[in-house]
Order: sequence, then structure tokens, then C-alpha cells
Amino acid sequence: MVQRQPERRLQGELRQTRPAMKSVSWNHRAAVTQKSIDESESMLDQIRSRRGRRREAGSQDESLSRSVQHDDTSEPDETLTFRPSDSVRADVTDDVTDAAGGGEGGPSSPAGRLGKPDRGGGGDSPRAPPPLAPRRLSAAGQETFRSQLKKRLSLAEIKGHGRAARRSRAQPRTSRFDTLREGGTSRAYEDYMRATAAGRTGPSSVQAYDFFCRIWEDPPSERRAATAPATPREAGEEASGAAESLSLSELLGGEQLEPVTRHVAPMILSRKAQLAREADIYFTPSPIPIPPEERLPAGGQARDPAEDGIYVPRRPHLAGRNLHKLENRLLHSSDRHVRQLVDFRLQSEETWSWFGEDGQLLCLPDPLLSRPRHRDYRDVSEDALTDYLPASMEAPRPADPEPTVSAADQPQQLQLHVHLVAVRLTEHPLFSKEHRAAAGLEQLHREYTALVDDDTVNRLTQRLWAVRRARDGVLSAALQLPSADHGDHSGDRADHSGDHGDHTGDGAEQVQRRRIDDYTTSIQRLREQRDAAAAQQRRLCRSILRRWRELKVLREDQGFSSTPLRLAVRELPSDSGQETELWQRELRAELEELRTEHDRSKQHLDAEYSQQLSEWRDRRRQLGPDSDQLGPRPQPPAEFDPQQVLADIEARATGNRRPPGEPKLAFDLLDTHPITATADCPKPEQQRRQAVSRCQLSVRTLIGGREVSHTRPQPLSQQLVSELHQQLAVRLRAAPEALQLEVCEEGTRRSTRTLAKLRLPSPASHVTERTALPEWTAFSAAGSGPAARGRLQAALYWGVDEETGSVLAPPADPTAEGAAAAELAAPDPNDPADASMTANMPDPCAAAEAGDRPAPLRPGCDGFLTGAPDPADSARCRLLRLRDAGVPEFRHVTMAPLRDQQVPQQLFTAYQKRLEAQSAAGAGAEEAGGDGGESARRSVLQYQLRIKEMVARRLRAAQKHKRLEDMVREDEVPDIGTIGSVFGSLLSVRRPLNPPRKQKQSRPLVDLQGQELQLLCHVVRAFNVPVRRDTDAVRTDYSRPAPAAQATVAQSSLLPKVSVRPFMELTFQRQTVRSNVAQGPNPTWNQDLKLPVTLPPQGVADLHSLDDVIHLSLQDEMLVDLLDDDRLQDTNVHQRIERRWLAELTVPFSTLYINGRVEGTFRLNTPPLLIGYDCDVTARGTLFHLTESLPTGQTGTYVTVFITLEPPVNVPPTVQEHLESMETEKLLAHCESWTRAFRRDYPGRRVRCTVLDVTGRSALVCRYIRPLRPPDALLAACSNEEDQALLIARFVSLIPNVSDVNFFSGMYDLWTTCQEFLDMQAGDEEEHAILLCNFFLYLGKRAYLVLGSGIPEGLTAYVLRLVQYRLQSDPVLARPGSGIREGLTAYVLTDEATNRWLWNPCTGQRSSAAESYSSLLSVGCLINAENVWANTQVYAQPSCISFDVNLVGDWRPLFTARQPAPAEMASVQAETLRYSVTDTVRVQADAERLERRLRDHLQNWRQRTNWTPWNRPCSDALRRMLPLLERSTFTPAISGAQLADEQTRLLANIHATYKVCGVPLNVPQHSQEAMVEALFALGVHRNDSREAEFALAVHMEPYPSNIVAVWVYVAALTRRR
Amino acid sequence: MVRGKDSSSAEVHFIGQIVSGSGFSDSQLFCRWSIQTGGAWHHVEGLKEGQTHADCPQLGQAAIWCHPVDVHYTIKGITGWPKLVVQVYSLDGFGRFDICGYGFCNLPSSPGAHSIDCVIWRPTGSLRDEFRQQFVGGGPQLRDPQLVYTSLDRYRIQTTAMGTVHVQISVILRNFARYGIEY
Repeated sequence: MVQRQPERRLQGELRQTRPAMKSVSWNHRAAVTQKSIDESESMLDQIRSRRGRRREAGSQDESLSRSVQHDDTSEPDETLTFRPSDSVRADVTDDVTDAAGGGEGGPSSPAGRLGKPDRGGGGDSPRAPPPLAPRRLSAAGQETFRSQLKKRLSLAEIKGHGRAARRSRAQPRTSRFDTLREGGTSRAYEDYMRATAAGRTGPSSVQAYDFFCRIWEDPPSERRAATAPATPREAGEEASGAAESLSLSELLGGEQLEPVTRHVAPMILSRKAQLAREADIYFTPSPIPIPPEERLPAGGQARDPAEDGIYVPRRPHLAGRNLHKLENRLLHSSDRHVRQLVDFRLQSEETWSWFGEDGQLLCLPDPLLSRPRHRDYRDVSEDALTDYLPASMEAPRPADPEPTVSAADQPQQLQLHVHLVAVRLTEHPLFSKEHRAAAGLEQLHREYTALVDDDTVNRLTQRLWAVRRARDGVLSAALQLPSADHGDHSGDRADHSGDHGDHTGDGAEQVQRRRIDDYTTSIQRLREQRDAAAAQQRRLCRSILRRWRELKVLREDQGFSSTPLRLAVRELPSDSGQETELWQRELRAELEELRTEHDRSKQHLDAEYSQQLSEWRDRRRQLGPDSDQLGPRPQPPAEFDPQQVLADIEARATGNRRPPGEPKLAFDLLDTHPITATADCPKPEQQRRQAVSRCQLSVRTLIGGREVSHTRPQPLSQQLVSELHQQLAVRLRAAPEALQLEVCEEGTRRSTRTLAKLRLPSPASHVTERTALPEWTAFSAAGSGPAARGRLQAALYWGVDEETGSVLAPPADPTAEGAAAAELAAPDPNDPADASMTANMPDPCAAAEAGDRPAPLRPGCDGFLTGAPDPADSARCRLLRLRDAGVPEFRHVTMAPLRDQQVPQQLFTAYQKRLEAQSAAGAGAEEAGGDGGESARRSVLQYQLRIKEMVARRLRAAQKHKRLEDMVREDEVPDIGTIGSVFGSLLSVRRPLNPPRKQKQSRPLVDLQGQELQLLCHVVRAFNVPVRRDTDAVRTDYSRPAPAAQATVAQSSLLPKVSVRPFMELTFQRQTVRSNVAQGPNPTWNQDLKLPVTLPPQGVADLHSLDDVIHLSLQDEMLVDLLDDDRLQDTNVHQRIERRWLAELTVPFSTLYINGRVEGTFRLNTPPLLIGYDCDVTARGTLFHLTESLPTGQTGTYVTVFITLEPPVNVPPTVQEHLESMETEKLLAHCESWTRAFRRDYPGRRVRCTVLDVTGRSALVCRYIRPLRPPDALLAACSNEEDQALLIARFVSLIPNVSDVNFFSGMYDLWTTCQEFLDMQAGDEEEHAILLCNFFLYLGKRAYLVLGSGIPEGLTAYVLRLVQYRLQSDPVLARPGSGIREGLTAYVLTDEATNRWLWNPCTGQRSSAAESYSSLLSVGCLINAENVWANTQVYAQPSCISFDVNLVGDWRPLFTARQPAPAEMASVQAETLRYSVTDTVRVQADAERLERRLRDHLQNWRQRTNWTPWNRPCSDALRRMLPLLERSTFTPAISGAQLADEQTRLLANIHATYKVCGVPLNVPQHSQEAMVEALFALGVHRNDSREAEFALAVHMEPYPSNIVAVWVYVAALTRRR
Repeated sequence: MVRGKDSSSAEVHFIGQIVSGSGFSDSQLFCRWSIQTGGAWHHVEGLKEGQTHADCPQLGQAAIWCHPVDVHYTIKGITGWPKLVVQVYSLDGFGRFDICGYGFCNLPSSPGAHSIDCVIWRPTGSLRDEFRQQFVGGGPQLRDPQLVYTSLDRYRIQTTAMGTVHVQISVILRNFARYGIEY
């Protein structure tokens, strides 16, 4: 502000000078400006000095703004005096001439003329105007400038500029600006000012450049001041050296470097002196109290105000010592401040003192309260808000209390019963005229009865009289009022005093009048209502009679009757005298009322009349008496004519009510009218009756849009009534709002037509079977079609839980309850007990209002987004929400579109479909009384889904664990070892004699994205292949040996004869690849078979969900000679290749996935019967000893394979979650340490102490073992105990085997209980083993569960190195000498434990424990209900170990004497198992359906050959064979030879004409798809022969609990020639 | 810009972190947090509550958590704007933990990045409780943690100021302009 001040003034002044220099250029103007500035500067000085004086005189703290204002106002008179002096004008002209001479480059130096020499050189005075440097100075101009300077200025003057010029030469680029530098910032600023003052609106380009780019130096004066004062010598030096050259110091910057600090010695005083000095400064008050005299003013007396009765507030507490010090200080201190204060005070107020009258120091009262004002709620509150919780190591309480699961949240168990009683039609196309009339009569009668029963007329009449009486009472009171004493009305007055302060007798009168008015209006209303009701009753009465007459006439006219309806009219006794009296009384009362009404309205009418009359008269006066517009003269209001009114009333009453003389009638509808027999009726009626008898009605029940039941169609009676009498119970989760019923008409041609739909509201929650009453509900057909109307009688009620006795109803809604109760019992609104009820009662007035006009729409009353759509509707939000919830369909959606329109709708369709399927399954489960078999199957599916979802949800979080290898792929850094191995490989044998298999680096799943995954199967060899028995029919050809079978062929001469040409075929996902053909029963292939793996839709990550099965089948290639002519044999070759299925190995893909590879020698699953082949090879090849030692006495075909995935896949780790457990911590710790110790000692062996159940809780394995009763049907089937055991094993093996990995879609090992296993009808082998073990325990055997490692085999093969469980029953130890031993002797081996069996629960087969070639490779532990024993023997193979668990050295028990088992070990198994009954009829139907389906498939596969002839006799024969095969699985008595004989017998006829080649297949019923796949893998359809015929037979053997053994026999037949 | 038929409702996305806790007497701290909203708010994605790790700072007294918060809501009304409710626990040398304090802060309603300080308090118990807390640990805890962010009954608690939890939250709003909300 201060700086801007001169600017403003300058502008003002320059505006004055401008007219004088209009013609000068900018440069010259600048010069002039400079001149004027100088002058103005001097003026400024004057002003400043003046202002300074003024300021001194004025107030010190005058604000700056005010001074500015002041200056502005006060200065014009001074500035106005300014005139440009003559010298300025001379300068201006001079400049102009100079400019003309010097041109643009050489302006005259105004500095030379304007500035005094000393001012220009030194620049000492900050206010001195700067030497105005030429602004645009070219090199030439500089020289001119310099010469001029030399001319005009002395050497000393030039010195300062010379430096600047030198510098400018040194820095030519900045020279233009550096010239200004000497002037300093203030000058630059003034330059700017000047430029602005010269009329330029903004900064010049130079200034603008400066503004951003220039480095402003400090003004030289300041720099000088900052440095030490220049010494005379320095100045002299400067002066002397300036002429010729610069001194060093000048080059360095011109300053001498002087030390800037000096050392000052500390001031040390002696202690005494110090104290003396301090004594001057400090005052130390003494703590000794001052005598009261000193404290009081001179001559004062101490006076205690409290004694005088003046209130003395409490003084704040102060320690005496401190107080005294303060007093002393106040009185005696020489301290300046205190003195000053005291002096000031003393001056201003003489009487003032520091001390009061009582000699005490004056002070304010103590501000502190004696007790705290804040209420301490800790002490008073009963329900403390906080709890003291000790520090703990447990997890803190959740941030929010767990949402308390209220009863409403829990899945409700509701059971709604629907009792459909009957449907009665009231209108239908099948109705005859008579029916229609009868229905009308019935309807009228119903209405009439309702009215009579309700007694509306009587009720209204009585109410009318009651009101009349009340009115009369009030009237009489009103009459008494004026004469009454005031005292009598004191109570009345008190009543109203609240309302009216100035209550008087007039007020009471008003109240009375108002009351009377009220009564009158209500009487009027009631009268009208009564009349209306009575009129309706009378009208109905008449209509009934008329309708009945019509009906009678109709019957007579048509000559027959088809309805039994009859109206009986009864005359009721009545007292005519009393009636007349009442009648008269009523008339009188009405007359009186009308009279009073008339009187009341008369006044009003009179006034109206007089007004109208006067108006009329006015008009007449204006228009004249004869004008047309005059209108009629208004009539005076009619006088009350009692006669006329009475007549009116009587007439109305007679029309509406029953007059006294008339008989009182009652109607009864009876069903007694005889119906004419059909034969007697005319033809149309007969036809109608026939149509009626054909018509059937049924009722469909829908809950929530889903059909839950459809009653059986019930015939319609001739009275158009259909008696349904069906009950239905529906289990529900949520209470439906309403039940929808559809009445359907079953036509003659199986067409169902929905007649009508009606809705029944859900019953109230207290309605049960006892309280429910069937009610009639009317319905009428909606939409097109013939009109139909009727009524349905139905009762709805909730079921009662038989065990608990609780009603299975939804929780009662208080509102509905209240309303219902209010309807029932008409509660007293004044009774507090009914308060809640009345509050819930719908307000009739409000309802009426709401009915009249719609509720007002208040926009935006509830939140700002009233009109917003539900977020659930938004597809994008839905997508996001589902993705967040981890719904499988959306888990892989990585990018969600930003807008709704961009969300593809098909994204939801799959999800919707799944939901619908689930709900359909759910509906099936909920539906009771439906089709038994279907619902059972669906309930299994539903149960599986539920379990799956639960487990998936529980363990999804755990699944997210990833290993380092999954995320980081790290190549090994080659170290010395790898280099060594590289060199070593150079030296190694190129073809080693025993090449080991190299382990491949497995790759993480994420790495496999987009790559093709291949199934790689290396088939090495097989042995003990079945050989052809019937070789004469088929000529084998040795001239075309397969290339890979060279070796075999070379040795074929060793064999007696080549009887089979086997090859292996790999089938996976319908793709097939086969190996070459080898020769003989012990072939060697050594061949790689590769198949691509079709990945599931969600990519490699979902590989575990792939539930396909790898089929590896052993087949025999046959060459069939097609040459008809024997003579051509020597010259031609015409053969067809045929294949015969011999055996197969099936490996579920999950097995391969888990293990990474499947490797070993496996027993192939051979059918029990192979037509034309000899499985029991007695003459085993000599080759056998070269390969491996097959145990003697062993049958079966074996194959050595190696299956893996290419590229190898990382196996996800098994989830080892420590979830909650039902065991104690101590026990768990013991189990843990025991397991760990055993694993350390015997790394390869498997033990389990605790397992997870489906709820995720871990439990001791022993809890799973408990004797369970097998199905009674199985026990009853065999008397022989051994057969029983086999049958039970068969039963268990038939339960479909599904891996946990597939089932729970993750790497979990969950054990389900036996009941869950049976319910799910799926489980892996541990479930099978547990169930079998429990059954055996029930049979009294001593059975153990064996956990160990095995190899996959047969259909259920799938775990190679994973835990494999086998069951061992040890009957010998249990009951030596029992019957079982006898049957086992046939299998006695050399081992001493001859009668120990190892049962395979998945195949139902048993093998001796001592068998050397067991599929169980190693035994890990034995488990029974009491203990777990781990195998501590040297060997783990079952044939090498002893099974005596009592041997301490051989078996290590979990529970010992030191560590006993828990006292009570409650089993997780239920006490008894529930077995559902298998519907044999359904199984039969299923078998037929499966057969049809398989046939269709086979035909489809054979489309190349156009047609597939079926040989029915052969199919029948095979079908007869299948039950026998099923029996043979559990009956050892039926040997293979017997089977073969039986088959030969059955197929004898067919064999005569055909060569039969067939295979029986046996699988547990898992799904029909699996069956189809198995059939495809057989490859029977690949028979290209035109003469080939086929036979297919399916047999399903039902077992309890919906378990079915499926047998499929398929055969290809070729006609013999 | 496609407007027209896009029926999506207003959305709010909170992204940020619970940075640290400072000013507490203990330094081994962890924090449980949750976001409380009104009925008009529908949770779409992200976690609404969680627990940070226990930080044991070697340098300085502030426990650094840097715990991510990433929640997505669709809303029908702005009533019940989310509050971040925080409970701080301290871990002592025996591995036990005590409540160190409660606090809440309203999440910002204007879009952009925000830095919030949530002040933490702890209920004080009786003198006996305080002594016990001093020597054997533990301490008074609210029976109903809802009290932290509901104003009912708050007047009955006596509290001690404990420290501050620092939160950085960025708010992204969508479709608010359609409902007449300007920001």
C-alpha cells in the first residue's frame, strides 16, 4: 500500500504533463517522465515530510488505509500546483534533436544531463533517480554511449558505469538488463512505474521477460552495508587501480575477507558481588505473616463481616506460607510492576487496598464445587454397559454380535394340509334348463337363509328402538332443565368445565340440542337401513317362491325331472295381536319423527321461500307481469299433512315389511324330488346325462406357482357334484401367501381343461386338523370357453408334529392375529387388556376413506430414490453380487461391464437353469404322496446337491491355498552337480539294459492355460489272456503279423498254437486309440497310446471336476475269411477284421489326476462269462516265467500299464484343515503325536486317527465302526452264513463309487456316515468298507477296517498311492470252527493263516489274506470300534504279515493301558439304518427304458452300416442268462463251468446257426450315461459285417434301499456258413 | 455416453486402507473394523468387516497396518451413510489381548481421496477395574458394540481417550447425478 501510493500520485501528475509531450517518441517521453519523476520525487519528499509532521501531531496508530485515503483527498491542491518547468521543456526539445542526430541506436544520455555526477556514480542515495541506461543498446550504440560519457563525465564519474559496461561486455546476452542492475530493484520498479505511467496498459515485453527470468540482485547499498565498512586504503586502491587495471580483490568480488566474529571473554563476578547485584534485582518475600495492622489502612480496625451477619463466601484454599509470601510481596516489594500497579491503583482510588476490612487478602470466592456435578452412572446404573473381561488369548469377540438366529430365520418346518372335499358346479355347459333353475333357486335360498340367520332386520329394528328411547330420555331431561336447580347440574358442569371455562346453562342447552340432533340423524339412518334390509328379505322371499313355481312348471313341461330339489314352505306361528300393536307403534313413531323433521326444516324452508318470493316479485316488476322469463311463482313450503304422511309410511312399510296379517314363511330346500330314470327321458336329456357321466373333475394344487399335487379325476354326479375327498400334505420352508387351486375338467379324449382358478388364503397359524372346517369357496371360469361357475369345498390346516406336538405352522403375524381375534370376539376398545388387539385392528373409518380415494402420493417422502429400481434388478449389480458370493458360474467372470445393457443375458441362463433344477429337485423332495420311485431318486439327487454345496462352501476358503510352485516358476540354476550329470550322461550307456523312467517336471495348473492336455498310456504287456475255444470256425491268419508283435511272433513257434491276437484299446471321452496286435495269451506291446483330453468349460482349473472314466480294454482281433469259394483260397485273400472284447481296466480320471500317474500290473476286469473263450487257461505259456511270477492258483488277466498326463499336472495338496472337533484337545494331541511318530518310523504306511465328516468336524475313526443291521431282505435271502456274507458284500459293492474329489470338487477326504452314504448313494471306498465292516460286525464276525495302499483294479479301481481301505474279516479268531471255515478250504494256501479273507468292498470279492498277488500292496493300520493298530512289521504286504493285533511287536495300538481310550465313545453312526423300499415295478420299467436307450445308441453308432438287425431269440436267451450271472456273483457254488453249461444250453439253438460273440457287463447303477459309455467302450458296434446281427439284454436286480445291480449282455451274431 | 435405459442405481465404491494407529499407550496393536450402513445400502462386493494383523513397531510408536478396504455398495437412499467402526486391541507380552478402544467415523461422502482420523476411546471402569487392568490386564468392554455408533445410551459411558486410527479412503460415486445429487 505504501508503495503504491507514489504510483497513484504519479499517474495523477503525469496526466497533467501529457498534453505537452504528445509528439515525442517513447524514449523521449521516458526522459521527460524521468524528469517529471525527479520533480515529483522532490515533491514527494515535501509531502512526506509534511505528512510526517501531521502524523506526529495526530494519533499514533492511524491506520494505513486511512492515511492513504487522507492523502488522496488532501493532495489534489498540491499536485495541481505542479507545472512542467521550462527546463523540462528545453530538455524535451533537446532530446528530440539528439534523437534525430543519434538515430535509434544513440539516444542522448539523460543521465548525463539529469543526474548529478556523484549521484549517478555512487548511487548512495536510494531516492536518487537512476542513470537511465539506454534501453536498446547495440554494440555500436555502446561505443557512442561510452564516448559521450567520456566527453561529459569525469573519470571518477565514469568509474561506476565502467564496471557495469565491462560486465555487460563480458555478458553480452544479459547486457540489456544488466545496465539496470546498478540501479537496483527500486529503480527497476520505478522503470515499471514509468512505463505504466507513460500510458502503457501492461508491462512491456522486457518487463514481462524480467518478471520471470531475471535474477534480481540486492541493491548495492545493502550489499555495502552488509560487508565491513570499507577501509580508506581500499578506497584509494580502488581509485588508483581503476584507471589501468583491476586489482585481484576486485576480480574476486571487491571484498576483503574479514572475520565476522570476535571472542568475548565471560564476565565473572565474585559471589559477593553477584549477590549484591542480585539483591538489586530480586525481591525475596519472607514467609512470616504480616501483623494485621499493616494490612489494614492506616488507623483501620479489623472487622469481620461474617460477625455482622454478612455472607462471606468460602475462600479458596491456599497454603499459609504461600499466602504470607504473597502478602509480603504486595506490601514490601520494590518490584516495579507491583509498585506500578499499586501506585496506579492508589492514584485512581484512594480507598483501595489489597486487603479487605477483615485484614484478609481480597479474593474471589472459591469457584470449585464441593461435589462433582457429573453424575457417575457407574454407581447408579443397574445394567452396566461394560463388562470387565480379563485378557485372554482367545479370539476377540466379533465386532458385531452374531446375528441371533431367530425362529423366523431358521428354516421352518411347515406342513400344510389341504383337504379337498368336493366341487359343486353351479353353471356349466352340461347344465340343463332345470339344473340352471335349480341352481338359481339354490342360490336365492342360500342368500335368504344367510339373511334370516343373520336376523338383520330384527337387529336393526331393535337398535332403532334403543336409539329412540335414548332420544326420549334426553328430551325429557331437556324439558326439566330450565326448572332444575343449578346445584343439580354441578356434576354436569364439571364435565364440561374443561372445555368451556365460562360454562353456563345456555351451553348445557346447546349440548342437549346437539345430542338430540345426533340421535335424530342416526334414527333416520337406521330406519333407512332397516327398510332396505327388510325390503331385500321380502324380495328374496318373493323370488324364491317365483323361482320354485317356475321350476315346477318346467318339470311339468319337459315331462321329466333331473334334479332332486324341492322347496318346502313352512308357515311359522305368529301372534297377530302383538304384531299389529308393534306395527302401529312403529307407524306412530315414524310419523312423529317425520313431523319433528318437518318442523325443523320448516324454518329454513320458510326463509328460503320468502327470499325466492321477493326475488320473483322483483323480477316481475322489472319484466312485467306477462313476461315469459318470469317463471312460476314460488310455492310456499307444504304444510305437514299427517294423513298424507301416514298413508305414505304405511304404503312403504307394507311394501318392505311383512304386514301383521300376513303369514310368516320359512323355506327349506329338500333333495327329495324323484328323478326320472334315464330310460324314461327324451333323447337329448339322455345324451346330456351320458356326457355328464363321462365328465370328470380334478383339482390341481399349486403353491408358489409350482404344482404340488393333482388329484385323481373324480366323476361328476348327475347333480354336477364331484366328490373329491382327497387329502394332501405339503412340506414347506416358507409359508405361502395363498394356495392356488385349479379345477380341471377331464374330457373324454384325455384332454384336461382348466375350468377355473381360485386362490385360498393360507390358514391362520393356529388352525389344525381339529379346528379346521371345510369351507365353500366360489369360483368362476375366467377367460374364454364356456362359462362355468361353481363352489369348491376345502379345508386348509397346518400339520402337527407327532413327536413334539407342536403345530408346524409359521409364526403368527401379530397384525393378522389381532385382526382375526377382533373379528372373532369384538373386543372392548376400552379394556386395556385388549389394547394390543385394538391397535392392530383395522380402522373401519380409515379403510372406508382409503377405499374412497387413493392414498395421496407424496413424491420423495421416503428417501431420495423412491422411483429407483431395485438394485437386484440391475443385471450388473446382480453379476457383481453373484461373483462376490462365489457362485460357480460367475467365479470366472473377471471383467464386469460398466453398463447394464452390456451385460450379456445368457450369462444368467445357465445359473437360472441350475437353480430351477435344484428347486425342481426340492419340489420333488417336498412333494409327499407323489410317485414313490421318482421322488426317491430325486431326493437322492437333492441330498447330494445339498451336501455338495455345504462342503464346497465350508472349504472354499481353504481351497485358496496355493503353493509357491503354483505361482512362481523357477528354473534351477545349474550348479556343479548338474554339470556333472550332463557330462555323466555323455558317458552313460546309450541303450541301457534296464532303463529307469525319468521323472518329469510337473507344471502348475495356471501354466497350462491354453495348452493341450494329453492322456498318455504306455501299454507294456499282458498275460493270461483268454484264448479262443472255438477255433475251427474262425481261421486265423499268421501271414500278416503286426510289426510290433515281431518278438512275440518269433517265439510263437514255442507255443502250441496261437489262439488269440490281443490288442489294447484306450477309450476316453468317446475317443479311441488302439495298439498293435500281438500274438498269444501273453502279449507284449510296449507302445504309447495318446489321446487328447477335452477340458471342462472352465479350463484347467476345474480339471478335478472331470468325471470321465478311462477305459482300457483288451480285445482280440479276428480275421474272418470272406471267401466263398474254396478254390480261390490259394490265389485270393478276402478277409474281414473282427474284434472281440475280452477284458477291461477302468480308471476314473480323478485317480489319474490325484496321483499324477497310474503305474503297475493290474488285474483286468473280466466278465464272468465269455462266449467262445477260455478264461481258465490251464496250459499257460512258457513265456510266463520270463515276465513275472503269477501266483499259482490265480486266475484272471493282468496287464502292465503306465498312464499319465502330458504335460504333467501339479496335484493340488489335500486340504488339511484343523477344524472343530468332537474330541477333546488331549485326545487330539495324542492322536497327532502317535500319527507323527508312526509316520516317522514307517513313512510309506498310511494311518488315520481322525477324519472329517461332512459337516467339517473331525472325529475319531473308531466312532465310525458300529454293528449295523443289514437289510432284512438280504438276511432272509440266504440261510448259509457264508452266502449271507457274500451277498452283503455284493450289496455294498453295488453302491456307486464316486471319489471324494469328484463329489466334493476339491481335495478333501471326508467320511460320511453309513446313513448318509446310503442316502447319497455315492461314496468312495472308505464308505463302502465301513458299511461292510459294520454289517459283518452285526453278523457276529470279527472284522477290522484295514487302511493301506493298494492298486486300482476293476471298475472301482482308482487310487494308486492314496489311501486305500480294505476290509478284513477274521472269522477264525472270532469263532474257530464255525461254518465259514469249511467253505474256505478250497482256497487254502501254503500260508498258515489259511482262513483270513481280505474283502474288497468295491467289488464284493474276497481274497485270502495270504494271497501273494493281492491288490492290497501294503497294510497301514487296522481299525475297529475300540482301537487303531498301526502296522510295525517289517513288511507291509498282507501276505507277509501277521494279523494278530495282540502281538506288541507287530502292531502298535493307539490306545494303550497308559493312554486309555475315552470312557464313552459315542458312535457317529445311527443305531439302525433306514432302508427305503425298492420299487420293483419301477426297476423293471427302468430296465426296459435302459434297454431301449442302449439300443438307440448302438444304432446311432452304427449309422455307417445303415441298419442294425436285432436278433430277438438271442436277446431273450441272454436275458434269461443274466439273473443267473447276478446270482453267481455271490454264490460260490455256481462255478464258471456251470455258467458256461447253462449258457450253452440256452444258446444251443442259436449256436447252430450263428457264431455268437458277446459280453455281459455289470455295473452298479450310477447313471445311464456311464452305462452308455461302458457300452461304447466295448466296441461291439464296430462290426462292419453286413450279416451281423445283434442282441442286447438288460437286467436290473433290485436290492433294498433303491440299490440296483445292472447287467447288460450284448452280443454280435454272425451267421454260420 | 449411453444414458437412456440404463437402469442401474447409484453406486458407491470405497477404496482405501486403514493405515495406522497412533497415540496409544501400547504399541502392539491390531484393529477390527466393520462398516455399518443403513437399510438402503446393498452390499455388492468386498468385505464389510475384517481384522488387521497385529503390528509390533520397531521404530516409533505408531502401529502400521495398511489394511486394505474395498467395498462396493448400491444404494437406494443416502440415509444411513456408512460408518467405519473400529475396535483396537493391544497384544501384550504373554500373547493376550485387551481392548484398547472403540471408535467410529463417518466415511466421506464427497468423491475423491480422503484422509480420516478416527479417534479412539475406551470405557473406564471402577477404580478396582482400573487397578486390575493396570496389573493383570483385561479391561471393561462394551457389552453391546453397537453402542459405539449409536447415540442411545452413550451418555452413560465414561471413557478415556486412547489414540487415533488413521484411515485413507477414496470414494467413487456413480449415477448420483441421476438422482439429483451434485457434488
